[in-house]
Amino acid sequence: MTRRIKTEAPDLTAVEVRVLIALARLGSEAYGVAIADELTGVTGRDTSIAAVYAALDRLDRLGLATAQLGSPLPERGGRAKRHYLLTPRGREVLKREHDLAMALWRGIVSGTSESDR
Amino acid sequence: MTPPRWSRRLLEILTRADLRDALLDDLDEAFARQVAARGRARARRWYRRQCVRSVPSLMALRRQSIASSDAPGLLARIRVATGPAIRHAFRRLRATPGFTTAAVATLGLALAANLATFALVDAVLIHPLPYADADRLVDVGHWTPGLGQARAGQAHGGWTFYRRENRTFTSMAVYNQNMVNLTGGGVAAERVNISMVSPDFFPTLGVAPLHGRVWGGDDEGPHAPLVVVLSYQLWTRRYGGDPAIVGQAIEVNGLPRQVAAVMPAGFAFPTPDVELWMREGFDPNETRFGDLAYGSVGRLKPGVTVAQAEADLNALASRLPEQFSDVRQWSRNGAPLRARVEPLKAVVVGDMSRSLLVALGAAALMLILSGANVANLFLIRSERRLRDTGICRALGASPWALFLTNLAESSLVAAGGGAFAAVLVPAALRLLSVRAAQFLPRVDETHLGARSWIWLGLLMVSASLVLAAVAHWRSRHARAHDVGRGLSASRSRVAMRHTLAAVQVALALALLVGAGLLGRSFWNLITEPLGFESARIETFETDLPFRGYSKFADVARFYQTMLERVRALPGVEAAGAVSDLPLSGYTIKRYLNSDVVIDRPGQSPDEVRGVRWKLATPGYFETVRIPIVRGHWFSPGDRFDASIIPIVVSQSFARRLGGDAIGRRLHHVDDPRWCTVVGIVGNVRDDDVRSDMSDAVYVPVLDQTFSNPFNPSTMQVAIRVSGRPEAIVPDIRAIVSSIDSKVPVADVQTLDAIVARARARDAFIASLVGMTAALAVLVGMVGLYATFAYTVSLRRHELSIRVALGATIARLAADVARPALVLVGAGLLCGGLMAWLASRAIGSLLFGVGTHDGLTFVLAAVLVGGVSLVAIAGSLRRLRFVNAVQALQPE
Repeated sequence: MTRRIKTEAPDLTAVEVRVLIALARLGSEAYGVAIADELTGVTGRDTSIAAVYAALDRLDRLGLATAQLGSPLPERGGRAKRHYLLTPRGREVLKREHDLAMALWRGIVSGTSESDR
Repeated sequence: MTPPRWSRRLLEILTRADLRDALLDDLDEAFARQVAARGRARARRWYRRQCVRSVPSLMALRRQSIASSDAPGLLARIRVATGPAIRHAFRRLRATPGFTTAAVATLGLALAANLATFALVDAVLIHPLPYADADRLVDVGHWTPGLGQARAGQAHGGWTFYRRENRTFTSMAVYNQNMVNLTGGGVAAERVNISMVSPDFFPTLGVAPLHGRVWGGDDEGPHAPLVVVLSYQLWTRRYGGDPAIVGQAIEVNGLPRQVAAVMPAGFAFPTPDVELWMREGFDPNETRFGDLAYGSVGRLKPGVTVAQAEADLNALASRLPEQFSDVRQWSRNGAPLRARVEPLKAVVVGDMSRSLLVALGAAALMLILSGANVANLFLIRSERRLRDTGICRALGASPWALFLTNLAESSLVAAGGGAFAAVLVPAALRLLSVRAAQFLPRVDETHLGARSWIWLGLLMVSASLVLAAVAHWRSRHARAHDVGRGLSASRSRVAMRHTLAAVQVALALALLVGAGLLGRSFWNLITEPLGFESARIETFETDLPFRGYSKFADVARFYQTMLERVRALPGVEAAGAVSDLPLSGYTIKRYLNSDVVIDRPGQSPDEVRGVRWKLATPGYFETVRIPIVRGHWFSPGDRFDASIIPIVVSQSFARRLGGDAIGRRLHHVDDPRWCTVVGIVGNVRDDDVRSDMSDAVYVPVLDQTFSNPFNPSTMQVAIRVSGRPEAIVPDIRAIVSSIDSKVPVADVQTLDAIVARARARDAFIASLVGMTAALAVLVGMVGLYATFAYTVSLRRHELSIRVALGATIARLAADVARPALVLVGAGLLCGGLMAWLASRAIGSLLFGVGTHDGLTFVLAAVLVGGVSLVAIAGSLRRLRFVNAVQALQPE
């Protein structure tokens, strides 16, 4: 049985969805390196920081995430980290993506588990 | 700990401005963590990997910003317009790696050859000399129409007179060159090149010292204190780069001299090996004109031309006889001494300019050839895509859009070639500046400056435009109905391909003829007898200090003792010393050209100019194997009648003496004592490998010899050994220092090395053009092969029908080969004609071979023709795959 999920949200790439998830997990601690680390930890593969920024930039344009500069840091020569936060709309889209994924996976996971037996 | 510099720089360039700081700081932070966790090397690898993997993301970021911005700038709009074309072209090139590699490598090699030669030409010929207002600096000298000397120097009296009376110069300086011993300071004795200069030398050149103060024009006169100026190299090498050396005294030829200044790095005038300058105490009120033994450099007043300056000085030169009585020696047959003014740069660069321009010409031909080759590849490619193009046009693509597609592809290929050149050339130039420093003036100034990069850019842009035009020309008439048509017809495109192939054959032949002429000329230089044998000979130079060696006999005794001990060493076959070894360059430095007065019984003595006056010890001729033709040379301990001074003359000079030279008398122009010819020896090439054998007089250095105008204390020693010449050097040093520890052993080198250096310039140009030609033949022949292999593959359908109708493969091969042979013949004819016309340009570089040397032309034509046949035969092998079954398949 399938359930239709309304998706008014834009089409996101796999990397963008993963970055969205990482933003949700990291909360206020999310910035380039932390997000890349988070993704590396989950996927087990080294993540390109530039790819993270490309995804963040698009999420920012779509209004799903927002950039904020932290306080200046001496180890960065007086420059601040660029933090990213999930917007309410971002949270909404993430929820939908989650539901969509769950809906999509439900049948298949049970199917495979049956055939495995 | 910093990340890899170039990777970081690349990221900096690629990253969009608003994200640049954040991204780079993040990467730095992650890099620091990688260093802590995995070590420096792995962290750097990680960073480079990040950099490479970032490129697509960073490009995507830039595109996003352009696409979303409201009012994109012109650049952004161009990027949006061309971006898809470039991406498309990139993908298509990636799909055909064979084509792309061949095109990029061919173009890249040619671009590299052009960039490298242009950088050389730029540094040597275009770039001004490294002095303030260098275009106002001129070389001042004379020429002596009556004596046939085209380039003579300046004389002391001439300098003071010109300097006082001229109206076109702001200043004028004189200099000459010598070598001195540096001793003291607890460091080993050293022999360095010194330039003795007039007080206004440095102000004229407009060079400021690094430390201290150089003297000005006011410190004049013969009694001004004798001070020296150090070169940067000498200062760092011998005095540890200590600025406190200024004001202190150093020991020059055993005498204390105060250091006035240190010059900046890179300053070396008049020759690159000068390391010390000493002010000579010239008398501004000199009454003698003197010898033309000095170099002179002048600075013109602003706006004055070289011709005006020369006219000004010539007006003064005509007044010289009123001023100086001894100036008449420079005029003969009513032709007086004339002044000569030339731009300083032309004098510094000398005759290398033609060699460099020839190299640049060869590189340009190579580029045209490679261009023709790649154009052919593009043509073939565009034919393969004719149907696609026809469909595109039918769907409404404008010709401009189609041209853009081709341009994007050719630009990428040109950019790849340019990048290839940009990577290859700096390394090649570094190698070159080390190898060519000996004979190529200013080569150490070679670097890839803005002009070189602009040159490369221009070549790249022209190459991509021409290639795009060729490809576009082919597809401009593509129509939708081509879609259904076969590919094997069309005369025009066959003609275009064949013309390009013929151009390659022609250019390959022209280059090969040039290389062949230069190669034969070089071979002639190598095989031309020098008059002596250089194998297994070690040489070095000694200079005896004045104290302790003021008498000729003391000097002779030193050399006698040293040579005796050297000869006793195991493995030494012979040893001797001479004032200047042939081809060593010392002849010119020491002004040993001199005049000789010949006694003619019953008539007034005859004066002969330009005879080499040399000093040689017993054993010298045996060591370098100069044959003794008649009479005899001396053995150690020989005594002779004190009333005669015995000398030996060269064969060519003996001929000038006329009749039987043995027993004739002559004397040096400055020393009235008569010398008697007792022997005749073989001729030797002294100045350079191209010059004629020189007239020479050898005076023996025996402890009984007369003192003569030349200082016998500086000699070059030659030692012939049975083994490796270098192995004997420690023993030599030990012997010299055991006789006198104050005598330096300098300029240690084998005679082979001296000869090789004398030939190096010819070897350089011959190998440069030779390599270009070899590359040209290779590229040209690969192009020829590709053209005909493609022709065969295009005609496969037609050929297979003929096979089905009963034609033999041999018949087909003859049909395919016929136009190919015609084309090669046409190419050879054009190439031969081109070489015939162009070989004049290298005429002055050739030695012993004419510019229209038949043998070279024939051999080059046979070689190019032969290789062409091989290439054509190779392409015919494709006929094996033609069979009757293919006739049934659709084209």
